Amino acid sequence: MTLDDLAAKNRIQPGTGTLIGSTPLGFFVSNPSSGMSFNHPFRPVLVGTDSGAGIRFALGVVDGFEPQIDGQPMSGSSGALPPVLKLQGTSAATKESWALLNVTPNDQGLLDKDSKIEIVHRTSLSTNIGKVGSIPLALIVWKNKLPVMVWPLVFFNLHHIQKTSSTAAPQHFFL
Amino acid sequence: MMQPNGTAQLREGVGTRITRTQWGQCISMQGATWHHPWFTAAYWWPAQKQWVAVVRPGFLNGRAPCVSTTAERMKSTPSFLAPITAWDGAADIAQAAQLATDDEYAALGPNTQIYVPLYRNPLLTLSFRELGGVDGPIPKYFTRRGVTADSGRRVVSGDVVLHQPRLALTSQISYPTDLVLGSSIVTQTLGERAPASNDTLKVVAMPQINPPENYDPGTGDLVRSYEEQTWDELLIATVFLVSPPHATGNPDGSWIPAVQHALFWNLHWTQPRLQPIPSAAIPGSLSASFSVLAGGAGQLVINSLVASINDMTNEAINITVANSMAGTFWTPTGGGSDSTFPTATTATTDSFGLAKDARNKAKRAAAIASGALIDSLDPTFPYKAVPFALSLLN
Repeated sequence: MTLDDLAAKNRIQPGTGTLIGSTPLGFFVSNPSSGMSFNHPFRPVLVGTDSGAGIRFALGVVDGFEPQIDGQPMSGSSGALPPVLKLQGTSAATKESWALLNVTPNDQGLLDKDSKIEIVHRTSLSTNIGKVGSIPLALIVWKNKLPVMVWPLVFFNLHHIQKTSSTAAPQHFFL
Repeated sequence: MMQPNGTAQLREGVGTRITRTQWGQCISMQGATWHHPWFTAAYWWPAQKQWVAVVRPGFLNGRAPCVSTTAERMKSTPSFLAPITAWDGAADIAQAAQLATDDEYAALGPNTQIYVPLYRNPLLTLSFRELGGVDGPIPKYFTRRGVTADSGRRVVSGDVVLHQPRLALTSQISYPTDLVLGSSIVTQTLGERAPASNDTLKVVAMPQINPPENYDPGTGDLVRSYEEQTWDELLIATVFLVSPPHATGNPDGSWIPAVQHALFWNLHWTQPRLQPIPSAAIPGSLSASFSVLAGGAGQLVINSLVASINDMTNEAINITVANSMAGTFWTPTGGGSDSTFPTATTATTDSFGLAKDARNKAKRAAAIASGALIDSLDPTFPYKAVPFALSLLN
């Protein structure tokens, strides 16, 4: 057995819930603190806390279609990094805001490849009745005009259904 | 110096599992379970001599429920009861901690009632009922561990409940004073009642969740005003406390807490609107008219030619149930109407492969067989979600 073989055999690999790092002084093993989440669809992460703050999401789909952020696929395109949802439109009085997934179904009430499916930032929630269906993906908590924390609201890929009625405006459900 | 016989091997410590493979050694650290939304922890607050609960934020329609408390209580909350940890989403732990101890309440009077969202870790004062008597039996989880009436230990439980205000259905029945069965017109008027103006989405504690009021028309009493409750409630968790042997009086810090969760994922909620009855759905003996009142509320007037009191009563019940404005909760899981996650049909002890659910099943079976785990109050991940009610699409 060569030294290389021995080194390969004794190499330590990270298992479940474990992070291994290497430093000039040796390696370290760390373990997520209690309450850490998992990398679920639409998982939000705050990027920066100053005026350029935004949210980057793990990929999630609705009816199999990938939403867009500022006209870009949420997972990025052509090798580019996933786009950041800019947290604009807030004021000094803002305490909460939301990242919303807005969908505009076709005339049959269904989503297709041409449907507008986008993630936007708003300081209020929608009624979910009308032409556009909306579901909040993340709640952003603000303090002193800075985003302090973001809470995930959705943990799964989504399915959209539009309920149509001859006497009322369309109602949207995400399930 | 490293020995060629492989003595440079890792050893398992507490909460650690080492797997040796042909590619090297794999270390897995078994951290605490993931704290899902609505994860509830119970604490004894010595200064107040109270059992309190902290509920990890869960959300309904994207909003964080609140807890009704006082400014003084928020200011006096000990830091160990308002844990700020590296929960996902905290961009800056220091800022998150600052948020939790915000001086926003400093200007308020000590007894000013305030509603504090769950992400600020407000404390919920628990209230309990005694189990093992008229209020219900002691759960098997405890009796299997020897907690019985003979052991001298007492068990109390309290529910943590999600409270959502809503419009409620009202029903009033009127009939002529000279009621003649078979030819008199009886009128049932359905309307809406708004919740109290100060009611809000909140988490409350109570000894036992109240089931929704069932419609009870009484016996032969046609002149009846019926009103639904102006809220929907859903059980989040039940907190159990087990006493030391031969304890008397109210629970104190010497009692042992255990929590059984009923809710694991964020929720959506909606309620039906009071609408006109389609003419095709109106039986021959009925006529209905619908009017929109001030504020957008609706009123549905149904005239019935009664044949007997029983017929009238049955019609009134059917109409009331069909037009109930009780809301519906569900969790968006992407799975359509069924939010029950499948469990592994087989168990495997293989260390490799994608059958994680089957491995968990095998580990759980082994733990139970060894006596290390008799059973648990909560299900294993991925838990169970509140299913979508297909009736919402009708």
